[in-house]
Amino acid sequence: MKVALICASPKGKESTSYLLLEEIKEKMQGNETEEIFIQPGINMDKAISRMFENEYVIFFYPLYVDGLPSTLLAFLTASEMKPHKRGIEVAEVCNCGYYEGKHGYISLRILENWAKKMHFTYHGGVSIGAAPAIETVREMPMGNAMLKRADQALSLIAAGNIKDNMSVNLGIPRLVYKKVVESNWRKEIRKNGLEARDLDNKMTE
Amino acid sequence: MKVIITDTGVYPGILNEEDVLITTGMNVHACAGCFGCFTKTPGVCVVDDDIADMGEKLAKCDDLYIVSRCWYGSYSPFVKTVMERCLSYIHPDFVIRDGVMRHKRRYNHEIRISAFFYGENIEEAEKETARELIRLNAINLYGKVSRIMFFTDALEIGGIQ
Repeated sequence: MKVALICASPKGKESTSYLLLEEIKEKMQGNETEEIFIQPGINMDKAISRMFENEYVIFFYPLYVDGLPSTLLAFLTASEMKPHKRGIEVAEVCNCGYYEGKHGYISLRILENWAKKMHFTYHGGVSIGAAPAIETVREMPMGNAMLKRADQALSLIAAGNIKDNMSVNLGIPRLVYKKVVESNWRKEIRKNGLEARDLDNKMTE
Repeated sequence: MKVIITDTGVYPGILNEEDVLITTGMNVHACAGCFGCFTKTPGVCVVDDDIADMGEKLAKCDDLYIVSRCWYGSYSPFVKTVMERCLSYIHPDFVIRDGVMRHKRRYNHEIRISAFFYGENIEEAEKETARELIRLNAINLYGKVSRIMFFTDALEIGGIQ
C-alpha cells in the first residue's frame, strides 16, 4: 500500500509530530511510505499532488489553539481546489501539550470534516495528551507500560483499523507532568538571561 | 475598545478610532511554535511583524470580533494564523480547571468573543464544530462567548450591529 505520512508541525523533523510519525512508520514496514512536510514556505501544489498519489494518508500535527496549525489548514483548503480521486483513506494523530488528550477532539473533527468534503474514506484519529513528554517517558523504567495506550492507538492507525476518533493520556501522573513542564519554562527563561518572575510579565503596566 | 480579526475586510458595526482592525494584506506570519513569547520576550511574540503584540491588544480590548470563512468548522487559514499568534496573552504555567489542564491566565481580564462565520454551503456538522471551537477558545482565553453567527454571504456581516 502506498502511504503518505504528513508531518504538519512548523518544527519539521525537530517536532513531537515527527517522532510519532517515525513510530508509525516503524509499524508500517512492508508498505511504501513517503514523508511529506507541511511548513510555512513549502510548495503547496507539489505537496498536494504528492499526497493525492497515495492510497492512505496519515496526518501528524500539534494542537494549536484547539485546532489544526494554520499552515495545515492552508494546505487542506488549497487541496479542495485541485482535481483528485475519491476514496483515499485518511487517519490523523494530534499531539497536545496539555496533559489530557481529549483537548484535541474538535481538531480531529475539523480534519474529519475536510476528509468527508473531499469524498475520502475517513478512518479515525487519536489525540495524545502530554505528547512532548513521550521521548522522556520512553526512556524511563516502565516507560513502555506508561505509553501502552498511545502505542495501541498508533498500532490501530498503522494497521488501518482505527474506527473512530479517540483520545489517550500517558500513564504518568498529571502533577508530575505539570511540574516538569513548569520547571522547564524556568530553566529556559534563565538561559535567556531573564528571571523566573519574568514569566508573569504583563504588557499593560 | 474592540479588536477585529477579519479575512474579508468586512466587520459588524462601526470602527472607532481606538479599535484595532487586523485584516488580510497586513504583514502577518505563522506561529513558529518556539514559545519565545513565554521565555524570550514574555508577553510579546518574537516574530517581528504587524501582530507581534496580539497579547497586549487582547489584554486591552473588551470585545474580540472574529470574521472568518468557515472551513470544515474551523477558521480560515488567515484568521487561524492570527489566533495562534495570541499565545502571548496567556501564561506558560498550567492550572487545573473543571477537571482538566489549562494554561494559567497572564491577565486578570475577560474578553467578550463574537464569531461571524460565512460561506455558501456550511453544513450542520461544520456549524456544530465551529460553535464548539469558539467555546473552547473562549475557555482557554479566559473569555466569554457573546455571539456566534453564520452567514451565506460575508457582505451580510457588515449590516450587523
